Amino acid sequence: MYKLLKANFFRLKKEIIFWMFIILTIGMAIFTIYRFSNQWSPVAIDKLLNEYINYIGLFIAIFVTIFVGKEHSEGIIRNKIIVRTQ
Amino acid sequence: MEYILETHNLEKKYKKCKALNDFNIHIEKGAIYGLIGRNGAGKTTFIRLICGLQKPTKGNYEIYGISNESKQIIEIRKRIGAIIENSSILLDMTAEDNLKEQYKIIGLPNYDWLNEILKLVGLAQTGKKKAKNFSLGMKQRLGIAIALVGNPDFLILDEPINGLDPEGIIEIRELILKLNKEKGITFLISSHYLDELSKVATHYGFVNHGQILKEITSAELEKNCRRKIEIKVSNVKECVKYLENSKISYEVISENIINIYDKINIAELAVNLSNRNCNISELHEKEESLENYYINLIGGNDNV
Repeated sequence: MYKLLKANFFRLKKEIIFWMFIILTIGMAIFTIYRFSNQWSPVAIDKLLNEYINYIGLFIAIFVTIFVGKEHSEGIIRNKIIVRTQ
Repeated sequence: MEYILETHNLEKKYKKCKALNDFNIHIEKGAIYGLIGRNGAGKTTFIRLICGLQKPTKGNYEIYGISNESKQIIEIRKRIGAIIENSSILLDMTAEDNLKEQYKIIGLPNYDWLNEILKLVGLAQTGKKKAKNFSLGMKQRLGIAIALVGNPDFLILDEPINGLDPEGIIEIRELILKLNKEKGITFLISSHYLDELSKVATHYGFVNHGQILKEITSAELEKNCRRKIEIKVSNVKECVKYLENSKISYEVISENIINIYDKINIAELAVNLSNRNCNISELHEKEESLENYYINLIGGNDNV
């Protein structure tokens, strides 16, 4: 299990789409802070959650689908099963 | 005889369809074993069973003498490298990163031999080029390189030259021969490119309808496929005497049929045999290729 995690983290670091989503998420966070910092009145937490944080979940879903899907479509999963990492 | 892989009446059933049926194979250490069969004959199913991707419904197999029912089989399987269907490579990564990923999957502590493996398969100069920009031959070689991580002594290649151009085929062929000779790696190669297989294989197994029809060494096959003249004579004894005296290589097939393997002057043979009261009633020249041999073998056992 530990070996598989290590291998996947190695792959993650090399994945362009991962870095793209990281930049997008950071960008959105900065934009949110900038947008609400202009309002001098308090912001309701549900507004914050509904408007922006939801998108992060969407990004993660898209990313995981691509990341895990690639493992199956390119046959990497077979390597793992053959080696039978424990 | 030391067998790396041996199966005993292996069977794999998908509902009512038997993909493998009493499958018995024997692969010697150091051999390049060519598994020949049409599409759907059971080659890939067999390879998937050996690699542990599927379980047999009946029978068993032994790898290095360890049965698949034993718990040790997991450890033994680490001595096997395999490419099944298509090479499992990450297209967005470089050749080096693909190998590093495999090192991590196996759990090797450092990247020893990484450069040596890349040199061995001829990919040391690829640098930062991503695998998606490789030619098919290079991708296939990278697949073999990944299979070589962990220093296996048995490599299984399923259709390794599918879709390759002639240059790519030569590259893979030379790589297989090099690994077999230098590293002593045993190969199991499934293919339906018979001519290509005949250039590397030392042993052959012919598969049809999920069964091994025949196992044969390349020497035996060569003997079977040799150019020969088959003659039907009235007096075998006299004919044999003449062939012995003339130092012509021959083989008596039945009580009136003899195969002659040397080049001979047919008119001279007919006259000399006639002088010895031996007449030739039939004469055929035969030359069989691996393809013909395969077709005859399959045809002889198939009514389709």
